Amino acid sequence: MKLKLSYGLMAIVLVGALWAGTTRNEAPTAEERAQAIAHTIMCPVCRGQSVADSDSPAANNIRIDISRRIANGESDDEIRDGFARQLGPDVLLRPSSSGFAGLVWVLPVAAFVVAAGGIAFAFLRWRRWATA
Amino acid sequence: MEPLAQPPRRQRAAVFVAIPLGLVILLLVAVLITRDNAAERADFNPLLGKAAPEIAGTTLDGQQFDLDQLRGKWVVVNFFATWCVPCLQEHPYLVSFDRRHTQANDNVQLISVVFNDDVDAVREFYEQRGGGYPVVNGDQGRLALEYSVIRVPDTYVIDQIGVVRARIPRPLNSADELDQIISDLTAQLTRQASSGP
Amino acid sequence: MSAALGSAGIILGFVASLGGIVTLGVGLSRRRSRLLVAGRTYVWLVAIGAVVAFGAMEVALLTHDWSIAFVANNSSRHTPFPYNVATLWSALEGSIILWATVLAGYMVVTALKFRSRATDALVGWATLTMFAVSLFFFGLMLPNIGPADPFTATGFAIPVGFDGPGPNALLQNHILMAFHPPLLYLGYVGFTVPFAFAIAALVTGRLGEGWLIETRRWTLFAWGFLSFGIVLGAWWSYEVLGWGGAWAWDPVENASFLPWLTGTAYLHSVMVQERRGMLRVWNLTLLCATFALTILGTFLTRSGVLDSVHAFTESGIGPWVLAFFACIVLVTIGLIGWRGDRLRAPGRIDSPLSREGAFLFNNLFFAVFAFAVLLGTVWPLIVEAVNGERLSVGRPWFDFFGMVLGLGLLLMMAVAPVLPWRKTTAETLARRLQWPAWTGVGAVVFAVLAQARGLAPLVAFGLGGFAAGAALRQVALATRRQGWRGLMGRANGGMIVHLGVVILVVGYIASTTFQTSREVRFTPGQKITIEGHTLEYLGSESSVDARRSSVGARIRVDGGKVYKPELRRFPNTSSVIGTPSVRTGPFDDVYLSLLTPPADGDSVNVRVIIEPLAVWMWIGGGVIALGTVLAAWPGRRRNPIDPVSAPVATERDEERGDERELAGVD
Repeated sequence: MKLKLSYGLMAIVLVGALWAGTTRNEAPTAEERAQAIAHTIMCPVCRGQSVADSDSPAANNIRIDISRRIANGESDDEIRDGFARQLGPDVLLRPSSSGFAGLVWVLPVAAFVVAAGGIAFAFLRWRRWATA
Repeated sequence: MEPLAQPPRRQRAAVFVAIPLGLVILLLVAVLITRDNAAERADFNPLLGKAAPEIAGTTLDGQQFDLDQLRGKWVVVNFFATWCVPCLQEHPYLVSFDRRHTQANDNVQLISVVFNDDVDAVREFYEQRGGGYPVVNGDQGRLALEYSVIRVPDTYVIDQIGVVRARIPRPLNSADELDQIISDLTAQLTRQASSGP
Repeated sequence: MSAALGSAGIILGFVASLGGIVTLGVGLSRRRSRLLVAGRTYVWLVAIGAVVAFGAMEVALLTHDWSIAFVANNSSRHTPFPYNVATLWSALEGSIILWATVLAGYMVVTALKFRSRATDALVGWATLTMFAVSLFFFGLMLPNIGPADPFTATGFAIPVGFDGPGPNALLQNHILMAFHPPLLYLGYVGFTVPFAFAIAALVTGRLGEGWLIETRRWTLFAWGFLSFGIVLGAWWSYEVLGWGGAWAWDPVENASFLPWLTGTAYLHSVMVQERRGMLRVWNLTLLCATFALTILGTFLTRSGVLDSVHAFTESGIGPWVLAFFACIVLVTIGLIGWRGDRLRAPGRIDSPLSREGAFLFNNLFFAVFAFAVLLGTVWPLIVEAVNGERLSVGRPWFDFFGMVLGLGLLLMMAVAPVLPWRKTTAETLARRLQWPAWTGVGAVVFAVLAQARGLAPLVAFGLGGFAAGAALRQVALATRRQGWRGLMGRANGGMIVHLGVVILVVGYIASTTFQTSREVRFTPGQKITIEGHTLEYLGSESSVDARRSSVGARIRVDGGKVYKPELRRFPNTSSVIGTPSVRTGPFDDVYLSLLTPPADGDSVNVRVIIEPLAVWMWIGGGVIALGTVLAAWPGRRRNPIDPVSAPVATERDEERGDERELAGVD
């Protein structure tokens, strides 16, 4: 009984804290948007780093371009597509979720489901033997 | 305490998992073994078919240089540095390539761009090893970036109207390699022009 | 001179490996124990070969022997002493020498440790397997034949006064470079030993727990070195690369992370095998997979197939390494398939609500995590092969799956330590987890009060607190029972490791999700305030020495010490290297990067990143190391396990064991 009260109280406090910690009241600023987008564009000359992390002049130019496009009123997706067209689709660090390439989002989930299913199946089989 | 139940006679489950898994892994190996080197892949495209970025600066002799002045000629732009061993190895090929075309006085010109090196070291290098073509200061790596050059040697071939037509992001194999490339490109462009609308 | 000596060393290593394989092979198939003992001498010859090659290359580097291509391509007169030594492993061929040398070292230690059992077929097969691995690595370096011959001649006349480019500038910036690769290799290569014993156990059919015990400590040490090497690499990335982060899911980082994931899974599920005799097939698979992944990782990082900030070299060894990987996979799968029926333990796991069940789920998360990391790393290559499309899989993808699976693992870390073996009730679990759960909730509340926002990080902090609470509970119980000895031994050391992991993860999340990054244009004398820190720019300062020229911005942080992020130019290398300067504090780091050289009026562009709890990542790493050492310490073993390699337990043995356990004779 005391245990149930304890956990009940825990749940209330937890939900309250999470709620307090996740309400978002303002839309992201232009600078925040630029940072977020910059983290998803790869610097074409620096081997895997995003333009947000890289110091190279190429990355600088792209960051300036991102701010310019935001000021122009382009949406996040439009900006990303624009760079993909200009610099090649592999400049986007977040792979698309469509087509064969998009399978990369699905396969880990599928692997988890299959493996978890296998474990569940094993447990069921073990239980059957115990009662056999 | 319950006695341990006898498990049913097991099929070879291990084999049923192992074989498909093995096949998948072998497939992965097949994919990986047929991949090109990332450097060749990654550097390959950006400027191909586009206007060559501006090259303007001072040469070793202190002359002003501008790529636009060479419009009308095939220009070979070679990025190099004296500390780069493969650059030293291909240097004789470049020298003989340049000599051939200077003597023929034709529409092919070789220039070199210094890739982050000390100008005095470069000057000494050319005095020791020859090479009469313009060597442009790399402007602290800015030119290299515009040409997406991240390692040397790296050589571009630019056609007569200033469009980048080929890139060799590795040392040259022979003195004739560049000539071969240029003649292939000339043939290809002539074909394209004649088959156009 | 060095070249000849070095090549001789490599040939010796190769031939000795071959000799070892032949001698042991004959000895094992004909059961000639004399040959088995004789085969061991070849281990010494391999070691001599490795040491000679290593020494010859170091001498060549230190004396600037330009006639060797490796030296001409990678070293410079201006590189100061410790970096010059470390140049050996700054490029491909030298790193293979390092691998072969570490492998030879492990072979010697193994031979010494098992010298009293040299006639045991199990040890014989294990040694033979290790000879096969060393044969491969020495084979890569064979003079004129191998794809990675380190002693190839430069091949043309060296001009007078020639100086090579030196190691990549990034590798000369911080002394950690000297330590990170050898430590990592001690980890990677270390997994060869348990792998060899796994193969031996499969071949001989001697699958009792004996071989497991022999190699468990090996695996723990290899895992410990790998963990430490990875954290050190992350620290180096943070201190040197200038982007303010420690982990970028770069292919080379992933290559080291993959064997870590399967190795950690193994360290947990092997306990199920020790206690219940179960999961034998799975554990063998994990061990072999860990080793195979170290080889695959070598392929990914050294073949040039993937672009990486870390990719210092590319070469022709790719196909060979891949072929070796395929060999290992085929042999392992073949052996497991062949021995499959004998491996199966006739037991079962009674309930998912048990320590065994928890380890099973933990393995599920680790296995899927490894699959995901591998998938993400090679996916661009696969897609390109299938339809020619070019794409990248970068941080956003890895961070997403890493976060989801990481949360699952944190949950497991919280629940598993308090679960007893065999089975338990939900009530017992709830009772035992009460205080840890409150710790978790407390962590969330604290984080929210500290202005942390965002569902995923808060859940992560909560689960981290939960896991830390569970670990502390176990340590408290153990020390109450056994005093300070309660900190030692596998279970208790493991709890310390868990604590270290939680600290590290919390530090990672805080420093990446909640960092504040600002680009500031400073004029001399200007003072600004970011997130409660005052930064005053005092002006620039430049210096030149034989090795490099640098210009730095002097910035006083919080009215105290002056920090100087620099731009360094090494005379013989490409471009300018930014060297960040970091003010480390217990609550946050002030990370400064100089972006541009001083312009008119001595003004500079500096990137300032405030990273909360960044130092927790390194503290966590240290705690993990401490926990590993504690775990390796022999604790008081409550259930003595037969050290002699025994055949698969019969059903009667199992029954008896079960009776003892249930009767409380744990």
